[in-house]
Amino acid sequence: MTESDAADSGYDPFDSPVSSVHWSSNRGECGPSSPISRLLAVPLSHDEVRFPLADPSSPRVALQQAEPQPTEALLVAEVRAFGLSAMRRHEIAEFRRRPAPIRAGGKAIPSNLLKASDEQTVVAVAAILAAGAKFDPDRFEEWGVVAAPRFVGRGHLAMALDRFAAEGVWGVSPNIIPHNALHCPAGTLSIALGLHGPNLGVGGGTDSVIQGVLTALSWLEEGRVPGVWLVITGHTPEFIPGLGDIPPTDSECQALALAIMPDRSEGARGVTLRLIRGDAEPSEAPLNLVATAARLEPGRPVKRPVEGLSIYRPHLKFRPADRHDAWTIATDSTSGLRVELAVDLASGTQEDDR
Amino acid sequence: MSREEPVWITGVGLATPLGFDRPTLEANFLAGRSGVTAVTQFPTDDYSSRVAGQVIDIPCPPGRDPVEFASWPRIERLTAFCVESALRDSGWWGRHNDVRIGMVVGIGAEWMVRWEESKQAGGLRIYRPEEDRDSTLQRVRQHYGLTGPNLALSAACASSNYALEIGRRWLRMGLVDVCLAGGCDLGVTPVGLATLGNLRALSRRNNAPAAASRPFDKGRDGFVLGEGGVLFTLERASDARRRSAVAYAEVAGCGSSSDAHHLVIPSPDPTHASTAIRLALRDAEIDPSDVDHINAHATSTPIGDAAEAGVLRNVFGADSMVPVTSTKSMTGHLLTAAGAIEALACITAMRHDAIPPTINLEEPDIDLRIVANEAQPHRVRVAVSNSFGFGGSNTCLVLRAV
Repeated sequence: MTESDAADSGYDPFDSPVSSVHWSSNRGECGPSSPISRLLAVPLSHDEVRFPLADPSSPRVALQQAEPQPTEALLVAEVRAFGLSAMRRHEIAEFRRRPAPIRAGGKAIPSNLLKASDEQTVVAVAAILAAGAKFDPDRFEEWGVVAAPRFVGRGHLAMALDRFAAEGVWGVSPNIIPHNALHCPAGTLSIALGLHGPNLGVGGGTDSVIQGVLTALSWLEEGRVPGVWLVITGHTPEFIPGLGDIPPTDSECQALALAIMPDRSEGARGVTLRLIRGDAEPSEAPLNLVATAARLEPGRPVKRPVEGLSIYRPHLKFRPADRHDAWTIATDSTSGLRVELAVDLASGTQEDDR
Repeated sequence: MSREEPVWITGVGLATPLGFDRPTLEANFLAGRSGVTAVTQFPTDDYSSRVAGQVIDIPCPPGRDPVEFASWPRIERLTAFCVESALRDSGWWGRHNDVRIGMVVGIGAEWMVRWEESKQAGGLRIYRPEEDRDSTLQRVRQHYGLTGPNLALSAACASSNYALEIGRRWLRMGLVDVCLAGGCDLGVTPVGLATLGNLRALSRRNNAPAAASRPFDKGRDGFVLGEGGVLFTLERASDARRRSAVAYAEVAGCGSSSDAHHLVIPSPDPTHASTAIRLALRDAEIDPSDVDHINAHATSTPIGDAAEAGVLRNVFGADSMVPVTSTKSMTGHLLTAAGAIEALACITAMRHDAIPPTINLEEPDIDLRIVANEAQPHRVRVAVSNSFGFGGSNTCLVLRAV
């Protein structure tokens, strides 16, 4: 199905209410679709997007809200749903060991598919399942997958190098290339969800977010696919393998899955992902996926805490309807590119619960 | 600018088991020479597979300090050499800071290669994430002062075709003025050879390295690991014409799909790989009957070669007379760079009106019109190059003579 075919047929994988929309608190509580992880299962549509939360620690966002800057958007696409998963090592192990097949709509994901997968692949699968709470594999069959992991395979390669040093050639796992390389998260997602569109791993390092967005938006611009699952993954803090008596870090492996479709309207758009040309400051830290997901949640009360902080912004109540709340999620300062997530406040109900 | 503006290949930089410049590689392709030898970079007594297509010494680009160059990580040296060679070959060298030059490179094992290289040298980089700030492409971009965006990607062995597709897209979008696209891979490392050997994916024909890679032959027993890099300079045709650049070929069509079947084994159902080829043909606005030559993915594995033959019959017909070759018989399998070197093999066929052979083909067990053992004179205006990869990736590239 091409983009135009999709438009003609009214194709929209997110056109019906989600039965299991679930939001757990940022710390602790777990969702019904995954008892061991924090999952955010949120479809986004024009009339569901209400009030994004700004990251209270970001003065840049406040400045943009007060005085939106004109920007040149090279590429724009709609974010139609998103899902977040964040797990620690024991949770990932538990997810792998699920005795029953994981259900993705009508499709069963074999329980052994993730047995040897990298941690980032496991949380990527969980995140995409969270985003597609009403997942219907048939309707996503031609979607593409872009996975943008950060330093995937570090832990497994460290083990392989240790075993190679200790045991020689025969100690090296045969799973490194099939399961722990840059292409693996995308390939595994494609298999798990029965997606026959292109699948691609991009980035791999600190610049994986902007490269992932650039790739996903390029595919949509070309009309190659009706939609793209963009899955951004990484450890927070960065994972450090165990060395000698020093155990590995117990970092949290996070994944944010975004269901992206072509931007189809000139007016209200809901949530959009934009590639902007202009000044771009270098990114100083990896994207905080949990905070990013929190800002995307529709209908979330403004006073609700984010990561233990809260902010009261009474001015938002009176904002003109044509304003956007936009925040930068990645930059490439050398080429003057940055990626923004933007929420069109005109498309939501604008009602908060205060 | 038209959305459908043609994009041309106007230069190439390469470091491969068969040479470090295009004329040498073309001559070796057409002569049917093998670049596969016994592995010499490290001891291999315990390995099940001890042969590979290697790039032993990456040349220092002209004007660079050899000592400084030697201090760079090996994957960075390979990429930099290909970048500079491609810019020189296309005539952009010396003016490369005046335009926005982007890079799209299949470079899947980048971090693993760097971590392993550090470990083998007694370093602990894999335990120090704070040292992993700049990627290889970022560093190469800094070395040459390039100002366009860069993209490292991997669909395993299908990577380079994606790189050419995305590079073409960036040019058509106006995101860049020139794009360097292709693949760079250095898989012949102690752990790389070990893990693929333990996967039982590699040929064990260790006593005859040059005969080990034998696509479509009944005696094939796995692929031969290769390494190297090939980067193309891509430009919009109008820009290339304006500066009277020599064009090697047009990137006429790209198609891709996923099997969604198995991480390592190609699907026995040819439907989805066929879709990738059909999409590429449609993108190039041609029919299967317009194709003059196919460079097959054919890695020399029993299952993979047979599966691809089924795909080709499905698209081109059971009685297709389109000549097919697999140049992996000469180069080994360059993994994420495989598609790029095979695109160059297609260009070789176009430029010389002769198709490079599939060597070591003594007893074909695949019913295709394979160019066996010697180059075949044949006029090639349109060539198709397949690349399939782990993760179920299928890609197809259509090149058209300019």
